[in-house]
Amino acid sequence: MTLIVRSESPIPARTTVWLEGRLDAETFGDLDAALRDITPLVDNGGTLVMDLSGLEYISSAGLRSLAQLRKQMHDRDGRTLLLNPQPQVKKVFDIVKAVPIAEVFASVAELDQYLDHMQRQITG
Amino acid sequence: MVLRSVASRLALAVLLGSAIVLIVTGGLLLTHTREQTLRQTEREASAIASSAANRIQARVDGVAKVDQVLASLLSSRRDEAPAIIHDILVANPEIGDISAAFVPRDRSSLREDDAPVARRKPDGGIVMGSRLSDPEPYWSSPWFIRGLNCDRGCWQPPFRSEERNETLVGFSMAIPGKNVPVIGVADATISLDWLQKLLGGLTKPDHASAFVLDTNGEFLAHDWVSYIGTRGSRPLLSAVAENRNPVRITPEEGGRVSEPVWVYFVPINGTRWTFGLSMPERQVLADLRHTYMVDIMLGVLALAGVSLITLVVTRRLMAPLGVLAERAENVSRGDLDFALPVVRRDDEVGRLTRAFDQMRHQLAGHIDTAKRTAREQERMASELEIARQIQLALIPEAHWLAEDGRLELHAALRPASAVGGDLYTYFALGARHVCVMVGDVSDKGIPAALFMARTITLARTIATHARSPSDILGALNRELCKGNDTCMFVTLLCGVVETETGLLALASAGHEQPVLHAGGSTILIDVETGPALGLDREARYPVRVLTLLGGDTVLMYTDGVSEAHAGNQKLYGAHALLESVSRVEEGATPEAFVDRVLDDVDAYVEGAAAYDDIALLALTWHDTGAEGARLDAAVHS
Repeated sequence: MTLIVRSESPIPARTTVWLEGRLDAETFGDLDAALRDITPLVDNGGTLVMDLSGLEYISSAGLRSLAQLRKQMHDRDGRTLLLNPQPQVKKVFDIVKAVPIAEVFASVAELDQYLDHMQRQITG
Repeated sequence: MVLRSVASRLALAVLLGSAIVLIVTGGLLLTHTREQTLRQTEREASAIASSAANRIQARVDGVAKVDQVLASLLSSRRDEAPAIIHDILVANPEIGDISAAFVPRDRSSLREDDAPVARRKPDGGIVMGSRLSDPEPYWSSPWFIRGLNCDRGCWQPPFRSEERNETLVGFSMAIPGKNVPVIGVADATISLDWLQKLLGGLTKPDHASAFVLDTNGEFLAHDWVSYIGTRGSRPLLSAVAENRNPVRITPEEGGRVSEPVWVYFVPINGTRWTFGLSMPERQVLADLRHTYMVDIMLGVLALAGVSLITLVVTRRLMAPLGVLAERAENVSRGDLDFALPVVRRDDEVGRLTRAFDQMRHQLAGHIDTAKRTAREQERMASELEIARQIQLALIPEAHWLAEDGRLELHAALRPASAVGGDLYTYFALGARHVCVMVGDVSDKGIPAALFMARTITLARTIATHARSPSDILGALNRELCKGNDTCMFVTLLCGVVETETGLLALASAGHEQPVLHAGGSTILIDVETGPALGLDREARYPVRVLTLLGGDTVLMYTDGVSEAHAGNQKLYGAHALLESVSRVEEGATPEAFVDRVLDDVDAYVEGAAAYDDIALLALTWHDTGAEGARLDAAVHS
């Protein structure tokens, strides 16, 4: 089983990446390679949304890849938010906590609410 | 074998191909030339025949004219008949005899004058006579009857005169009368010897024979004297009757010839005779045959020359190919060190030679690389084996029994490849505590193994003075976060057992929940997890405390167990694990738990290679004498 990575950058401040398939020791290299091209498009301080609705399985190698991505974005004052993981993937996030649970959202609305909140904190 | 060489085969193919072309075009040429030759011969023969026919016609026309004049004279001057025919015979030396035969006025008293005849003697003198002396009455003879009916004259059939020893033919014409239409017949006879002489004197090709046919199909004259007076063959006569000119006559279809002949004929005007020229086909085509044979010989010579040239040229062009073929055989034997001929040409052979040379060098390069890679891999394999030994040396013995016999441990570590990222360890913390750990480093292979080594080494160092798993994990986490740009992490379950009381404090850094087998039931111990170690410096790890009773066993494991699967199989899962553990008999040793779980997992994947590393640790509390309720509390650090 392979991993499919798609991305969309309507605005420089926010890019959405869709993952489909399995993210494990065999495929995390593909994700790293794809993100090497995608992350430079995100502004410093921007948001990278990883839509995981199509992700069926994540292994510890995949988690490491996501954690590393989060760290790189964080170093540029950016955020990496995870959206809509399937239950079995969500469970892995809950247990391993390789990324903060607060940055995992069940829906776009929830994510937007979070971003609005963050925005208000900064501007307010 | 000669034909093994491309050059020989090419030369042979050229020879065969050209031979086929030569035969086909030669055949067409022969047919065409044959027709041409036949047409040419026909033209020549027609010219000869026409000229001969004209000459014959002129001669017979002369006789006919004389007879016509005679008939008109006799019409009014019957009484002068003997004198007239005598004078006319004198004036026309080609005529043999002349008769003036009248219908008798009275058959009872016939007169000599009724049928006077003037005859030329062999010595040239003229003698007068009468047709009355003919063996049979002239007035009832066929020639007379026929003559009476020839108003404008006609040729009688030829006849043989024994007395003069020659063939004669007469021209007869009816003598018109004043009161009656016909009173007699004027007849002039000529010898056919002149016709035979004329045929003999014709300028005609060698082997050609001329003949003249009369109305009845009999030969009046023929170059073959024995044919004179005989009848022409059926195919000849039917061709003349149908005017098929020229006609090919063969012995097979009834011709009176010994070989196929071509016959060209023309009718002779003024008579109903036909002049013909017969030529043997063999002779007609003799020249053609000769020419054709010469052409064929030349063609064969040319073919042999072309083949020879092809052979030589191809040999020259192909010579480097032969060398290349030998060299390719060298390559197939693994010998790459040889000299190639220097080819400066830019054609296919030149390109092939250069490409072959390049290929040979590249192949040598690839073989070198492959050998180097193989050596490299060998070295890597042996290094990995050493690394594996070192890694295994980092973990303690699989089995441990406390000195007082209360606590017993059994563990197993099975890396999926030579080295892995799973770990277990246990060590004493002071006199009254024992620390146990089971962990799983993210990813697999060498990076994971190194991170595992770092973790296990740090853990022993850091834990020396700590007594709470929360403190141990917190300190370990802070150490592992240092310089961890690649975000490697380890999930770790840490337990600290108080050896006097059986109190077990558990803390989890993102690890799988342990299994508790106690009092006949098997459950997952719900330990709230903190973040995996190495990612978040600020992480906190809540502690769950429980008291073990005699015979209780805690099983700690990594996801190599809970997520075991083969191919697209479903993951093994926590439920299957609980099921497996629950089937272990009460009071069994920790070794029995470990073995049972490993056996069940192996059975589940049906012998497939492990997908992930496996670490498994079972801890059994043997304090059978202890009493009291299970103490169960969570302490947040």
